[in-house]
Amino acid sequence: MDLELKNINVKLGDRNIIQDISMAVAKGEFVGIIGPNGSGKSTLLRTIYRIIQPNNGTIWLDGKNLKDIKLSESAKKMGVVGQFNSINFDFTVLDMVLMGRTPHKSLLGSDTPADYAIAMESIRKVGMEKHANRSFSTLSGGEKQRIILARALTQQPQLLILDEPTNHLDIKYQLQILSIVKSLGIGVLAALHDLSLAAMYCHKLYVLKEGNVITSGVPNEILTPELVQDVYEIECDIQENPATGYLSITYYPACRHA
Amino acid sequence: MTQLKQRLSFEYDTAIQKNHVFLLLLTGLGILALLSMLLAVGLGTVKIPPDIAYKIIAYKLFHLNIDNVMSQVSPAHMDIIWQIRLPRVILSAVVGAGLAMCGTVMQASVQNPLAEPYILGISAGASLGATFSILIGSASGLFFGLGTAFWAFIGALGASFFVLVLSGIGGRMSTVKMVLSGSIASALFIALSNLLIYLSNDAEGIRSVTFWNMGSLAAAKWDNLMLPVFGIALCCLFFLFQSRTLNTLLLGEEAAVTLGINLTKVRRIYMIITALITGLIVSVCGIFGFVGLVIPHVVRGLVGSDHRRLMPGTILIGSIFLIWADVLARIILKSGELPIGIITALVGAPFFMYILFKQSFDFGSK
Repeated sequence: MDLELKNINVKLGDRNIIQDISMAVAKGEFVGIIGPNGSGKSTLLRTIYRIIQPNNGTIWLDGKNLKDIKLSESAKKMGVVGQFNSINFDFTVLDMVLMGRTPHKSLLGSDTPADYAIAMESIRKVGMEKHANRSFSTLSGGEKQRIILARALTQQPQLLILDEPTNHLDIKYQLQILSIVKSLGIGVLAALHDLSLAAMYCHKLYVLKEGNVITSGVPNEILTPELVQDVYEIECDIQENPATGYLSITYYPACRHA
Repeated sequence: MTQLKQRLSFEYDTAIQKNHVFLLLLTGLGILALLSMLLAVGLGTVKIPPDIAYKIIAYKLFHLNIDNVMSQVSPAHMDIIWQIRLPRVILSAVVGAGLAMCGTVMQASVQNPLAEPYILGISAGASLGATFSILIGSASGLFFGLGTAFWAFIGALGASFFVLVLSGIGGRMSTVKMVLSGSIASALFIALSNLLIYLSNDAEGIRSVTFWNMGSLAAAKWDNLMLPVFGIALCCLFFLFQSRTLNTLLLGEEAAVTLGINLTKVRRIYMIITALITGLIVSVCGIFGFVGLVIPHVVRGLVGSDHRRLMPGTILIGSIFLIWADVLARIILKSGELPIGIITALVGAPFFMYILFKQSFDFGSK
């Protein structure tokens, strides 16, 4: 499963949110999108998971124009963990995760033992098997996010779209979620706000600023103090940590020169 | 291997067991609904012994002349049971099911537990159609041949499209826009109905419209019963098969789309069908609220939010509720009867208040 964006433009109202963006996610590749608030990360992802129609450009999923694929078909291939998970209705965790089977089901199809097995496997993957019969609405924000991920995994997608998947999680689960996702070996496109985590997990990064891709490439090559200064308007120091082998990013206080 | 298989299907078996319990509950409710209908036929201002009532029905249905009932019963009693009470009880059961089902579907469709056909303005549209037909149609002799029923239905459809278009302006239809559009539609259509009434100066018409706006099942006859019965039964069947989609809609608009639900299309279809049901109901028995609001809440408390359980539950409990509400409407006054809208509101409003209070205390942690 690969995803390719060609010259995507998105206008919301009369504001250009996304300007002429092209990007690609190859099979099994973990691709990150970074950029400050308002740079268009979420809008771009929402365009890919079909909430917003692009004004211009084409999205190719597995070589097919996304426009020509039925929603129920693309939902079999693409799982989404978005920034939306507030419901006031009382489903159990297991029921919630089972809904990930929806795109695979016909109108009258009921859940089979196999569906339950897939759902339970997903719940185990996110470490929530002890809570399978709890009410979803009693979970904490972080637990809910893990269950939403489990639901997306239950779709058995070939491509996962993650919109800041770790923003409610403490550091243990941030690492855990990203590790789970990476271990699946499927294509991932994730908007991330933590640059160190992005550098640690992503094969490739796209850097967004004001709806444009400023640069893209392997994290260790493109993440420089100059880039961070340009995009986020802050100063930092970036070095490869000899103990871990990962990039270590240290920020300076915002008004160092004042 | 067998062990592993057993372990894997443990959750499935638990679910199946829970399902058996639910089926038992459902059968119980079904029996209760039938019993309610039978009891309701025996109750009314004119005292007819229940056993005579059932013998009359048995005779009419199966030509069973039990205890030579036909020679003991006056033709007046026969008519009361067969021509008045039985059609009316059947209508109340069907209308109750239809209203409760509409509420459930609307609530899932706009992800708002307060939604029902009345709040989304569809009933106001139906009422405008009916008012139009009663006052202008009959006064001028125009449109005769197109009954009130038809115009109520057109009004309901018009209101639905109005709400759909209004909430679709400026891009994707959102929950907030939809509910707001519903209030706009309600306000507008009610104002137009009132305008028609004031302009007409037709005393009898005004009385008839007033009655229309408080609801009554008194108009039930065998020949106007068939359309609502079959219409609503078909729609019930349709929505019983939509449980999975309805569940997905509860998750929110974006989540539903990412699970492969074509939200715009699904909402449009649901809106049209609920408009059909509302039009059918308003045309036969006028407007009365709260059934579509309260019943889904009660049933959710009993069986949970899963529409595979919620849908059959609301249909049956909605029936039972309205059968008894109508019995009350028929017998509570010594002379004449009460509009059923007063009863559903008197029962529904305090109940709804209770729900609101309860929700404000444990909001989000239910």
